[in-house]
Amino acid sequence: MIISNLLRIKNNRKKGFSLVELIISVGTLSVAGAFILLFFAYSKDINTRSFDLDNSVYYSNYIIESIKAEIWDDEPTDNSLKIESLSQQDGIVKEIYFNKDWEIIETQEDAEYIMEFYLDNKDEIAMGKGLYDLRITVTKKNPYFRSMTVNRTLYTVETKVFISTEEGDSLD
Amino acid sequence: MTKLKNRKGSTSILIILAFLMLIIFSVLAISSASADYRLAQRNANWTRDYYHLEGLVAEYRYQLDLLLYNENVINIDQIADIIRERDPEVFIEFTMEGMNLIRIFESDGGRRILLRTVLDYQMESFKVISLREIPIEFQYKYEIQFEDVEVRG
Amino acid sequence: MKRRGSSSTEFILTMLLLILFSLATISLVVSASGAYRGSEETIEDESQIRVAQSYLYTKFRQNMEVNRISVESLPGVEEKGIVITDTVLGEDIKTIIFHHEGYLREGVFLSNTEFNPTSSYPIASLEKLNINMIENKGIDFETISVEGKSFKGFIAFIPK
Repeated sequence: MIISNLLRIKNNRKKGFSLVELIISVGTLSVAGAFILLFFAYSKDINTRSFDLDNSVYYSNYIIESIKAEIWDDEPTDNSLKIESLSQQDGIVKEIYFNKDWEIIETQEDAEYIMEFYLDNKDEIAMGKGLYDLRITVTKKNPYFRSMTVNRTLYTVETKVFISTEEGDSLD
Repeated sequence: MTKLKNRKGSTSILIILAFLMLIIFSVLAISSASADYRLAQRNANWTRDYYHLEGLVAEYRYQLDLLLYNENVINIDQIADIIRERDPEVFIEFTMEGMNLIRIFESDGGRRILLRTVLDYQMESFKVISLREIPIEFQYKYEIQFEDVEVRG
Repeated sequence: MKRRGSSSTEFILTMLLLILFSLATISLVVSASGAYRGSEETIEDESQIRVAQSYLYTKFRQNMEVNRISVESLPGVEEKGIVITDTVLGEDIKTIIFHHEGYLREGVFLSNTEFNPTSSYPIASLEKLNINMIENKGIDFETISVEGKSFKGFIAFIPK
């Protein structure tokens, strides 16, 4: 009887799984899962960086082309872009503020992205037109995930525009 | 047969499979996000390069207008001579409209912009007719060397 | 003598534990695949917008001549389209860029050929494309992605 009981126990031990094994597995999976979540966070961060870069390019294009066409549209610059006089001023710096969803806002305090553009005429005016240096810089106020860099420059573009020195037309 | 009957370690196999799937998904997510970021960077560099080239065109147009504004020129031929002297790469042609000036600007990356501008015979101003980007010609990475076929026999 | 071995309660408890563990593992894998799918959809959406914007700008820049680019209403298409007219060997060839059935499309038509939205190639997947020509100034356009993200663009004409 003892032998048969022992045999039964031995047979039982071959089947099923142990609790220790289960605990170790759960522990391993939870630690591994934490690392995996970190990878997903990294991929989300990279997505955010490419979205920010694309937005910087789109808005910069819009502003440069609007300046070339000498029109001052409502969006994305609102009427603050209306440059009063382009002649004789030593560089005009305008700032446009965006929140984290790339929507234009009024104040710098809540801004996540700042677009600064600089329009400067250094040369003489010829036939009512001047050659202007145009530089646009987009910076991000707060750092990205696991980065310490604040006020990071996302995108810079420099060009020259040959436009009239009179006040631009505004769209109403 | 004993090994098949032994179910010990089944949870470990489950764990390994689950872990493998998680690793695969996370690596795929990072690689596709990185590829997308590289494309975004390429787009940004491409745009920056284009506007740098356009800046050269704007400066050239400014110099042409300055020529009309400042120089004491009597006729259009003098203007053409001055331009040819200052810029050997320009192409000038006289048509019924006036003096056609064609110039191609090239960037370091091989991108080109063609500027075509016309100065009427009254010498009022240079009017831009065309400001086009010339597409980069497609080039194969490895050139195929064609040779004459040997005929044997 | 005490009887040793497993009882039904222990068995049920063990099975419950195993089921719980399996469910936890499956839910972790499913959520990871869901996260990956969401990430992919976002990347795809932004990529299509980038392609559309880049394509439109490149097309304009490669055809920027006086009186060459116009914005017209097209038969069978809801929104206006961009028409680029080119003359080759005396014949007018029109390249028409428009939005139809969820795609930004480009078609090439001869002067004697009627416009047909199906005779075109898809360029990028877009929800909507709004185009507006500002006389003598340029073309204002807005691309709206499938996920509803909107991006504006503007291209200046050659100044007169």
